[in-house]
Amino acid sequence: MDAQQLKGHLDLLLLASLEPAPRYGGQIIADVQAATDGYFNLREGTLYPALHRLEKAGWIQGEFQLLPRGGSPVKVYTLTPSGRDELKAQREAFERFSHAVRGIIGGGA
Amino acid sequence: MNETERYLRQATRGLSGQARRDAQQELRGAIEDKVWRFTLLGLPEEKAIRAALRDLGDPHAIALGFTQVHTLPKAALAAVLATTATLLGVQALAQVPTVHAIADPEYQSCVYDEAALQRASIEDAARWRRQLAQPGGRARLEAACQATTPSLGNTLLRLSDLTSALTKTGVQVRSPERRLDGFLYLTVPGTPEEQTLDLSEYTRDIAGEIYVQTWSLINHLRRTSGVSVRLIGQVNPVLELGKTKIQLGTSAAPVLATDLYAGALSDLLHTQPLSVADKPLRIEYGFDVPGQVRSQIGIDVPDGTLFMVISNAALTAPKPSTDAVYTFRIRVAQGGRIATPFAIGSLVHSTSGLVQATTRRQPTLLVYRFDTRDLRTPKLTPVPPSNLKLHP
Repeated sequence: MDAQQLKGHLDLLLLASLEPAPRYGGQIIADVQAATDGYFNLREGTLYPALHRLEKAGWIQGEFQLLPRGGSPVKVYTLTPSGRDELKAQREAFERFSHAVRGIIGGGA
Repeated sequence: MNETERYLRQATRGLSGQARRDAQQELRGAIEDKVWRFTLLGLPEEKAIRAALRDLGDPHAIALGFTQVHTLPKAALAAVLATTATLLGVQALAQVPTVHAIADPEYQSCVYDEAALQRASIEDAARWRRQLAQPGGRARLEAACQATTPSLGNTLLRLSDLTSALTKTGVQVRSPERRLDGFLYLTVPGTPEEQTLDLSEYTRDIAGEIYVQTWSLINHLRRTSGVSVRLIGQVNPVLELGKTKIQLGTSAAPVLATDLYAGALSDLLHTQPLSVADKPLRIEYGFDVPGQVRSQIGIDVPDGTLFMVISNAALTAPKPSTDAVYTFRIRVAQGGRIATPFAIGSLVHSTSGLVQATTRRQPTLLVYRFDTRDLRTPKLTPVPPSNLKLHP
């Protein structure tokens, strides 16, 4: 996946990945990779600054939690109510966009 | 310092205070998680750590991402907080008001007394105690500390001083109704618009008094000011914002202009890197060990003229470390000379010359004259080697 292409949808991807349950960075990368059969390969260099940006915007909230295996705590991110609204808005915008593109290039809806 | 800690430092360079500690903690957790997964796959721990760090990628890329997120104006937050606000006052006085500084207690003081050992982590304290017990251990420990301790973050300004000094010079200072320490709105005489000064990530509560990092103040003004930003003088410089003036630091806890220039250049070199054939050069601020002078460069300029000196010393060392980068220092000409901590092989006048010299593994300096008339747009002009004279 081209980095530029990913960039436009990164926020949507991250917000959506936190929709089912709170996650920490490593889980988000694994989830996104698994859900897209490896099409999206998120790198930490992109992921962590992006998570901090979303946190600053108030859409997600991070909290350090200990894992059962012990060791250092990991920062687990939870979608906030305003994050849910933002996800809904971005998802709708993406669907309108993808519908419009399909209208031109053809293929299944 | 182990590999992981070095990585964490590099990946969070540019952040400070709580934001830095949090980011380091988060990445530490991420690294350990990866290491754990790799060891489950059967890798021995040392290899697992290396694989995890490789997986995480270039720490400088992470640092750049973090810096952009944490230093950009918080437009969204500003909008929320701007709804209601308090006017702190308007008053103009001719005198230049002073902002008191203190040394940043969070940075290592390089003093290893019992109090410092008590404050340190258990591991650090145990390591220091072992080193202090050896003959000459204290001197070695202090020297090693001084070599890596940034003077850049060494001073903090008292926030209440800063707001009252700005107010005295006629700057309108508002703070948001929902108080956020370090978050201010300024209206500087001569500018129609109010600007946001968000230092909230760079505040420190010390014994109930709020302080902000001096260099972060300069960098924020550099990025957001509607009027020129300038420093006059080397020790306890006067900060000029357009026509308003405030003095930073006092003799009890001096602020050095060179530290602030270094912070501004660090910021500049990250946002607008110098490059060779469109490839940006990684140039980081190099910390000075007090009193270390290995060579002098002669140049015919008035005392006080500022220079940026870029060195490839780390890259041309006999065994360069994998994270070696170009380093820069700020120098002030004195008596027609610039002192450098480097043993110099040659001088060049362009970044491509510097890169070529590095390929030949030749220790080389590139000297820029640094025009600081307006720190929003600092100008760097390479000095031709023909105007410089080496005094090894």
